[in-house]
Amino acid sequence: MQEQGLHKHTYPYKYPVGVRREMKHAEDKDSMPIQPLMPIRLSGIAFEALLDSGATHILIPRRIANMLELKLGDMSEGTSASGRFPQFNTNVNLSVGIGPKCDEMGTVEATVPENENLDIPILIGQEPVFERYKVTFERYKHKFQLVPKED
Amino acid sequence: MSKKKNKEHQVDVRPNDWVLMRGDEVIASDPDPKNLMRQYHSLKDSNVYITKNITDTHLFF
Repeated sequence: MQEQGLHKHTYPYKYPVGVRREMKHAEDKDSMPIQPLMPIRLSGIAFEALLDSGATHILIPRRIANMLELKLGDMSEGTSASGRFPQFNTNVNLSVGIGPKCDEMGTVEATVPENENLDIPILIGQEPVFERYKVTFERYKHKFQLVPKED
Repeated sequence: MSKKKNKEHQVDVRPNDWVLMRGDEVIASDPDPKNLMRQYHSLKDSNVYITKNITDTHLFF
């Protein structure tokens, strides 16, 4: 039985916004990278975030955290492919999807890197999304899917 | 300041800018997302959202 109250979401991989429109008509669709970007809301504001199975939590860039006026808590040490970095722990209200298929996740834990100049998008990591959905990446089909988990 | 549309309806989107979008249409672009919020709230459109112009294909974490 699927987790109640959650919806199935299917999204296309997307090109970087700077070339998104022109790539619709491009002959060589593989000339630019595509990314699993999905619609979310943080504190009620609509964003496009990168679904990242390699991230443990939700990671919110410092400038976005400042913009949302998130209360930054204790510091901890994050680990990335490029080394360790200081980060703040915080909480944020998360919704997955938009419109009638929007799933309210409630207040969830997130981390905010101390360095505001890190060029990273909002990352949606394993908790809570991968805990509540079966996530399937089908890059070769240019789509990915979130299906509410079955008990 | 955020860069707004010019006569050709083109917005200069630089690498790693935060970008205000309506569907696939770029509305404004700025290194600091705070500068996009006034427009975000004024548009009152459910198709409007903020994203980042990611051009580096390396994995982040």
